[in-house]
Amino acid sequence: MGPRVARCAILASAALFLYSCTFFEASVVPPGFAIVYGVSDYYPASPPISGDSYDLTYPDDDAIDMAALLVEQGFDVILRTNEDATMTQLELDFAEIGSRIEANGGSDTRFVFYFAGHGYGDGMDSVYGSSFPDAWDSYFDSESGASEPTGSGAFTEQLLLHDAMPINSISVQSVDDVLAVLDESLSDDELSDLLGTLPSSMQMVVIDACHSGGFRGSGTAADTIPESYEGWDEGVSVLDTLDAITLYLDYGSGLLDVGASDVGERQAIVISASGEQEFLYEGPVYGNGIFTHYLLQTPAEADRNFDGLVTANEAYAYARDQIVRVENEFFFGEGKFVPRVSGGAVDFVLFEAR
Amino acid sequence: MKRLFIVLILCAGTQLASADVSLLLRSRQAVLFAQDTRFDLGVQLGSEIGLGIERRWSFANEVDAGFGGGAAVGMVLQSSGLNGVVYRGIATRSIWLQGWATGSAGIGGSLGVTLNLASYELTSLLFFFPEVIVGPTFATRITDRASIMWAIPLSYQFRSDLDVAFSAGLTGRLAVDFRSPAAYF
Repeated sequence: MGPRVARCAILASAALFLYSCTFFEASVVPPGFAIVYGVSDYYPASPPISGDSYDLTYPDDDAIDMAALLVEQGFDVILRTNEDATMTQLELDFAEIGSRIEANGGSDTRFVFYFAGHGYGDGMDSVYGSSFPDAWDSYFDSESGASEPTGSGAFTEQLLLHDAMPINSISVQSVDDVLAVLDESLSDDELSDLLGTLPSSMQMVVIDACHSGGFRGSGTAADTIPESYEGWDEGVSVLDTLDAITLYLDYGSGLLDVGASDVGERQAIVISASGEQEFLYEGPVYGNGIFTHYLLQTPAEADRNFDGLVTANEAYAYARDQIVRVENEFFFGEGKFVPRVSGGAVDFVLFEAR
Repeated sequence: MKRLFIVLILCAGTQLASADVSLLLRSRQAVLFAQDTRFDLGVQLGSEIGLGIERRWSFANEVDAGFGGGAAVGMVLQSSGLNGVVYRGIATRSIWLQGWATGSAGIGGSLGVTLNLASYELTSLLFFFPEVIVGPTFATRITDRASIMWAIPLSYQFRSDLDVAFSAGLTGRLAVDFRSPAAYF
């Protein structure tokens, strides 16, 4: 009786294993659509701060290179750079890509939004001291919506499109100036709204901009890396554990008032080049931003499980590892940065491996 | 922390040597069925190994029962990339409590609860979920002081990142008894 039961148990387990193997069959990658924006040249009338140029060097190249990769991967891409990359145009492009998706696959499609350019966060002044114009600080000090709920990060982040004025004391002198900047910026919540207009069920957001980690919404997972990474790896702390339990208890019940904003876990996978309270750098070596430089390598380098597919998670992990191991050797303290990814149980195929 | 836990288990085992207390080593292999309802069901393979301690009782030489707890580490592999969607792999650290009972033929059942602290593979993201495990068991004594229990655990994971998550598999568990010398006479 005994051995027979044991044999039955082993056979049952083996049957389950074989059943699971039937799912490991050749994969069909769904159609892909993308909106790719890169802004190097900003607001034409932008006066620099004491010789400091507000323009960037590589974001337009980043966008062009990323669009080329996506086209090579079979994506239908809308590419805008510099003066074409405005907030008005972005809204039109989301409507256009939505129509294309609807006509070519509907929900069973992948969508990628990529942005390279300036990124800012409301109220960053409280983190970095008085580096922002008084009008900017006082506006967000008085806005109850400036700070986000616990678990959503501290601030509302903005991606600055071409027509956004520089956030400096020369350009931003009044509340009207602040509002003008915001009109030409894409906030985390606005991006969430735009993504919600698209029928694609597999949405990915890739942002190569300062403070872009703030676009990740609160959800079910706590990040054990602090929003301002300074190079140390603390592992899992008691506070991290409590954060994870708090998010679990709050999810669906709202009992602990963790709140929800930004791009939600079940809305899109967000890969950001930096944490919410980190800056990024342009290096002259690669001809691209550092994060995008490594992201462009992922079809050839990031297929960790050799299944012929590079998921968003694998692409993120490759870029992160390269930046931590190679690039952060050249930065110190708060100068270090590390890419982030949003939580959630599902991951999407970003590229086919080369 | 892990060393401390192991030392505590050994100390507890020594202190309770006169009682029917067992040290446990268990391993679970399972297939996880996961679903976010926006997408098809995903299938993932999982594995777990753990240590524990339990108190055992015997009733009229007919029924054996036990209740104990311990800690485990495990991993679940990511699903395949079918139709563009992959269910992420996870690594787990867990604590568990479990009770079981078997009849004279060694056949019985078990019920347990596991609290998991998990992280998504390749990320620094941490999340929590409880799990209930139930299933038939078969126990057999291999020496005077050691026994093996096989189980077919069916578990349901209460995960906030998934709409459905349940698993089935096979658990093998080695129990080493601590008894007073008098118990052998």
